[in-house]
Amino acid sequence: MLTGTYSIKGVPTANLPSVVAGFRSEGATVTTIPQDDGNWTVIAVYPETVASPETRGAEKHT
Amino acid sequence: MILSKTKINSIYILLIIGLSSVFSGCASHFTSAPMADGHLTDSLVKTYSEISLDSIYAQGNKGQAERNIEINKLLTLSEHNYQEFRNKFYAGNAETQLGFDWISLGLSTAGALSTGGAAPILSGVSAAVQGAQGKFNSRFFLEKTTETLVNGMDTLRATKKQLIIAKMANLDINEYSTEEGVRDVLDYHAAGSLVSALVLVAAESGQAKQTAETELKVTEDELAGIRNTTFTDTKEGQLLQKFRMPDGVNIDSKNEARIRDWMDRNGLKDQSPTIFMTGDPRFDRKRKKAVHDLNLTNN
Repeated sequence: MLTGTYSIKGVPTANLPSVVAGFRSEGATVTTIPQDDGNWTVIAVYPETVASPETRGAEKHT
Repeated sequence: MILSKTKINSIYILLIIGLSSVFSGCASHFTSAPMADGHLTDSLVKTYSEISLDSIYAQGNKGQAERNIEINKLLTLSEHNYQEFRNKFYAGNAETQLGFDWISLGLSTAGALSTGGAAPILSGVSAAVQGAQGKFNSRFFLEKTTETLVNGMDTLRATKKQLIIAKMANLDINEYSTEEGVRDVLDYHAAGSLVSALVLVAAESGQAKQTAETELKVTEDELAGIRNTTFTDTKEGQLLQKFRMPDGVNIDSKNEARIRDWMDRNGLKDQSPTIFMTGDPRFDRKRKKAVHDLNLTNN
């Protein structure tokens, strides 16, 4: 399971839809930021993993 | 055959005169010895089979130019014999004549070698060659490894020759004596043996394996940690993207599963498929492997 923040700089406009769709399919929330050179920076934030109650319980006993 | 000192000196004078057109051996100026023609090398072989190392030293130790002339002549002899051996080896006729015949180099006079520093080198190499001889008779071996071994010998000799040339050009007689030069030529000559080539090939393959393993480990560690990268448009990336999203926007779940499975099995379990496909040249090797493994080359 992916977690944390990933980013790709310099994404051409033509490739932007597939890059965004790719990150979204992986469960990320995607933000696109235009660059001065006409390309895009794509930031993908994946949700942090939330430990299940069973796991948390096990952690307390170790 | 023992010649009188006068006769030896006469031969030397003739040789030096005869060689003056081949070697530009004036003063300390040095040029590498070219391949000599058959007549010259025949003459050199004949002459050196009759002259001891002591007399070579006596000539060469007069000065840098004389030293360079002596070393040049020996280099020429070595090159001549190496080329002959090389040709025989390529032709598959080297089973009974591994490496060089030291006598042909003209430095095998027992008395001369027994007093010189080259004796241990010579005996060691000879023993190694003789010991290995039986192992090289296989036709398979000759056919499959000729190129590799010749390349190994060429590489070793080129490296050693460069060193000799540098020493001849830059060191005076006090810094680089004729004795040392002769030892270097013997070492250079010994590099033209199959034993030397095998040692080099074995060492290089071992080193290459270790380097590859180290690179692989570093690369996988790095790849797993890449979070911020720059878009890289590669042929392999496009093939993978097309496989993942045939229409450019919607994911093909079946193909997506295959890509993720491949990434799991190739050290990229915790990496984003999008990053892997579109980012960073460091993924190049992995992308190529993925395209190959997933058989996407014809898509």
